[in-house]
Amino acid sequence: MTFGWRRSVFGALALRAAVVALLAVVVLRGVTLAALDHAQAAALARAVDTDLVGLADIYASGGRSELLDRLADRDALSGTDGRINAYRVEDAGGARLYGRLAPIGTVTASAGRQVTLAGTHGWQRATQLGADARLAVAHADPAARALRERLARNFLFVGIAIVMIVSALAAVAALRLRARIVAVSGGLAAASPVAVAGDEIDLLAARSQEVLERQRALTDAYRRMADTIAHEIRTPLSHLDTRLRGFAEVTSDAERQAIAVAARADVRAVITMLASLLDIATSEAHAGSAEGLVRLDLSALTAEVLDVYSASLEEAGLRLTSEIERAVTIDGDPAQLRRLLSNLLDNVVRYVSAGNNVKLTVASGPRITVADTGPGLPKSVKARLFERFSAGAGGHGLGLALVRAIVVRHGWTISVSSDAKGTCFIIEASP
Amino acid sequence: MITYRYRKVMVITPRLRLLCVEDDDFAAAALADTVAGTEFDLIRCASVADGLRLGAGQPFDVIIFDRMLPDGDGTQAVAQLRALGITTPVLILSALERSTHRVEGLDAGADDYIGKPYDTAELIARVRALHRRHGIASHSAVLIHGQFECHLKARTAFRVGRHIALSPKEFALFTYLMENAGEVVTRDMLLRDVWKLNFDPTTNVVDVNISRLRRKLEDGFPTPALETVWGSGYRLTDGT
Repeated sequence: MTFGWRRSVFGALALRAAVVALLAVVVLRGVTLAALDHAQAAALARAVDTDLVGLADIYASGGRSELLDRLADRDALSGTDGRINAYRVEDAGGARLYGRLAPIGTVTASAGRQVTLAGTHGWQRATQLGADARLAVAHADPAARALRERLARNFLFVGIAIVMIVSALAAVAALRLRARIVAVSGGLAAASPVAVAGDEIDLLAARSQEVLERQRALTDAYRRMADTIAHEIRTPLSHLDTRLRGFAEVTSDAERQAIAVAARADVRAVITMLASLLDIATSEAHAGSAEGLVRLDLSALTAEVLDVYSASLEEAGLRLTSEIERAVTIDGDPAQLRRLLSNLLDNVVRYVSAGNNVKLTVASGPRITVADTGPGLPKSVKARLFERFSAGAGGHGLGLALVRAIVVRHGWTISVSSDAKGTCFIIEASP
Repeated sequence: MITYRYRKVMVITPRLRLLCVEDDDFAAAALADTVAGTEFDLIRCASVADGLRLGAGQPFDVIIFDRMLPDGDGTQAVAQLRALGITTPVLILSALERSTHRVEGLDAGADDYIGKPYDTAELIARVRALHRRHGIASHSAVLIHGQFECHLKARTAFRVGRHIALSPKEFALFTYLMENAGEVVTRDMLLRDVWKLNFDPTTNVVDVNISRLRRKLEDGFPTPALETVWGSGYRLTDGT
């Protein structure tokens, strides 16, 4: 299966994650460096101010010559702490008396400016000391600048690393998800899958749709097949039935008439069996699907069926009790549910001997039980109870197979417990 | 045109036109045999197209439609007839007779549905019932047949004026027999129409329920109320 990355929703997500990581690193770097710059500039300005105040004190106490001596001392010691300090002392006319800084120009109170000292950004401030002198002090901190540059460089490396790791992780996650979805879609796809425009979700949706359509086509094909089988078998059987009826009418011989009647009964039995088999197959084909089920009152339906059977149970010498919870509402096929209950009750009438008790309960869930106090089922019968053609005495042995198929069709389960004290069929919703 | 009239003394049954749409010659011949000797005149055609043409173009009392016809499904033809405003009672007679098929047919607008092979007595009874129901706009409140009375609203039964206590399910059965009074009612009809069971139970529920009702209807009377028509079903007598 070919499915390009360009259309991948997970590919797009991975790409977005990488872009977000990159932006985050760039912003963090900018904020950090700005904060550092601010702190460094403030520290430098404070140092310049302190120096300027100290030198002004010296001038005030010792005069210009004392100031020039001290400055010479300072310059001799300069550079030992890694900082660069520079000075300039001018006379009133602006002539240089000491120092290597550029001419001071106009002195304005509290004004400082950026300067470059030995290739490093620094800060300079000047002041008018007296009538015969003005002083400029400049500081630069190459170590601090180096720290800033190192930090900026590190941010670049770490940032690239973070973006790469995020991209890699996102790509791996996207690949895995994509592989899983494409695999699921591939499993759903028909032998020759149609190309799908859109992302993985569209692919999955399209494939699911294809599966549903195939399922529907299959159900339709099954139905047509079942209809054809039923029609093709029933038609000759009806002809046979008609011929037998005609035969019974034209003959006046009672024995021949009896044979014809028995033969017609056999024809009916084959037709009944065919209908049961098709019912079982249809129920199995629809197992667990809600298609064709309607909302119905199981309690009322059970009461109706029980009404039909109560006389039969009584005539068979069975004592019937029932506990039917009111208005148990379910989604079901009413014809099939009547069949289910009838088959279970037919079994009771046929196999449980007179004098026993029969109890039928319906509770919400739903939960249906049919219990009798008969002799219980032989082990050999119990093992194959719900299989087709596993007849006890009489019948085709399709009754309980159909019961199970109907139970499964409704998404329920059936179980049977049986011992010497009786047998109980329990139908309940699957857990 | 001769007009027939029902008389109390002598009943002359009017001839009724029955259209049969059936492609299977054998089945059509069997149907012709079935209605021979009854009040029905059978007109046969073998395709959906002819069925539609005849059904829509000529007056019929009842139409019998097969389903799997060479040029389509009979249920669709019935739906087309209904769309054309044809209200003639339609009975579908088909080898497709599971409950889903039945529902399809009735949903398409058919009035009744019988599976093949069918019981001849049942077919005749149902065709007659369809024709009878078509003539009556609504159910009357009281059904009377011979000695029997069935009060539908009050849900009570009487024989020669004497009240007969029936349980609700016995009353439903009695009502059905009264609705089909004088006709044979088959086991399949009772199962399907009275008890909504679309299959024949493997035990004797029909016989048991019928015999209970029979006991109540006949208790204290010298004449039978229900007769068993051997091999096909039951018939409510007029009690005399």
